[in-house]
Amino acid sequence: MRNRLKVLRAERDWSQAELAGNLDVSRQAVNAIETGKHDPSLPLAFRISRLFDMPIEEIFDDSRK
Amino acid sequence: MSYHPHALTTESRSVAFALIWVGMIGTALTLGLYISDPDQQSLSVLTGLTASGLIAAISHYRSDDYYRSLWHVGMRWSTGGIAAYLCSALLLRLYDIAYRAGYSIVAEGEIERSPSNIPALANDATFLALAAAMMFYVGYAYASLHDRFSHGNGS
Repeated sequence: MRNRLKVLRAERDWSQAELAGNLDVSRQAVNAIETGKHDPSLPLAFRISRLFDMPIEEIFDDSRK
Repeated sequence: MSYHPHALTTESRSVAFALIWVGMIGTALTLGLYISDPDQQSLSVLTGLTASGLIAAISHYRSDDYYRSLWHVGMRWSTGGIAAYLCSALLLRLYDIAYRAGYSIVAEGEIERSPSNIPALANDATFLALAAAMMFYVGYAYASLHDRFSHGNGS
């Protein structure tokens, strides 16, 4: 699943480790989500949504293009 | 965001990923030593390393979403290994039944053939537990390395 996590993180000038700390996950998890290797669980997707104050569908794109 | 004085840091969560590799090396060493000489004294220490690696792997204390997704691949591999072992045992038993039935129909006599036995090491509980643990680690390593090399590193 494609997502805008890397862009949103860059806009806030956060490192992967800082974002991981804000989300209570490991840096490896942030890296895996950003590169599309791993789709986050629903609770984590909600945490990401709350952290960036954006709806989930504006961060994640589930269309198969 | 509320403050939790004992909350895990990002670094301490990353430790879970490193512990898996330590457990894998420990299990590989234990398995190799067990096959070569099951009576070695050092096996007790290495078996402890294998057990503690698995305990760390199943602990949810340091785990997160991504760790659990890799963990699930390891569990599938381990379960697949156990299923393959049981299928082999089933085939041997079916072969025995077929042989026995065929012999009694054709020869109408007593069977002179002893049942198929699984080789000694494959019937050893410690070996099987170590092999199942190794399958878990190999599955985890496969998923981890596949992720690392198929999409590149986004950091």
